[in-house]
Amino acid sequence: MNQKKQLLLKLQYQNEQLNDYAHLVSHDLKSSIRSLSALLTWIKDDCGEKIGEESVSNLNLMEEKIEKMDKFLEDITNYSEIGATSLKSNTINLNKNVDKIIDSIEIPKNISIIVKGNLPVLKADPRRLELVFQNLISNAVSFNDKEVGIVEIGFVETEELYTFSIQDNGPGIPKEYHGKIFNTFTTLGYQEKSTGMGLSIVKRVLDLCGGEIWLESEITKGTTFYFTIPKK
Amino acid sequence: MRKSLNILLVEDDMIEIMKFNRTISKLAYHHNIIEARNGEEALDILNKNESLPDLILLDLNMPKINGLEFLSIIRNNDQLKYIPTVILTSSNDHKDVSECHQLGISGYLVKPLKFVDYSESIKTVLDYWCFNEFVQA
Repeated sequence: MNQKKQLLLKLQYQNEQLNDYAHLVSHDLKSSIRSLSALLTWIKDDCGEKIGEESVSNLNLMEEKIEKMDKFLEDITNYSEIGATSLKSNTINLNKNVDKIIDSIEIPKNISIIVKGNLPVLKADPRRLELVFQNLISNAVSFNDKEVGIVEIGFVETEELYTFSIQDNGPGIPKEYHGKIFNTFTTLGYQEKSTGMGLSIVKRVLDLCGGEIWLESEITKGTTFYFTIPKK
Repeated sequence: MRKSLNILLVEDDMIEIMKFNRTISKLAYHHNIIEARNGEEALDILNKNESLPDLILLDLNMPKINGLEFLSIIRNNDQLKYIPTVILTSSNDHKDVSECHQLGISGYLVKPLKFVDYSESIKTVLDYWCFNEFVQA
């Protein structure tokens, strides 16, 4: 066997190990978090009146932290799974998929999501593409600070690629952060629940599919994320 | 017609068992629960008991004989293979999901974080199986 082949096999093995490891850790931690969450709920249910308002509000804070930990673990598993299996190429009707994603996101009453025109039917990996839309849309929703929040999803196509846009009228992202936000664990900290993994998940998926991502933003006015998917 | 179910709960985590029992105790209908702490104990119970459970609720990550091994054993056993088995786990790993479906399961439930959501999903599963006809052992 030649050296290159050996090296590749070794790398592949290490990758699998790393992915298994991430899964094992996240599974064990997830189980523990579920136990903690249940016990907390019971304490609140059983003795909320006895322990007083302040303690109940401390328990609520604990609950929020637990929720964040859970989200974090989910993001870590998603991130490690992205490169673990080979890319699928299924035919996807994005209109349906994006509707499903929008349904799965908790959207406050003051925010509306608009899909401009008909989204395309394309060939891609459904789960990974879902991660891209899900993270970008939920960012646009949860960071929105306006009384009437608007998130618009649009696309244009050329012969070689699709360019999608997710536009919001949120707080905007300062220019100096435009490069940094795609790094793992970077969060601009406006939002208690953000894990700093979302955009790095998006970036990793797009790197894998040969797509690109960039943004335009104006402080206090809003941000538009653009990303491309090559037609191959 | 609604029936009361004989349920075999295969779960090693004490707090998970408490969660299940607390959920069951608040239901309007009575079900009979048999607990097993791992796959091995569950197999012992199945082999010793003359009457088989109507439903098995199975955790995947357990010591000794784990959930997948247990599932594969009962699916290959002529006496036990018809018992509907619903997976109850905190792993949504695609490998686990597809392996379970290949072996044959009646449901795959990923435990939600919040206890209220957990209770709701257990209640829904039991509400469904209450109305089923089973292969009589």
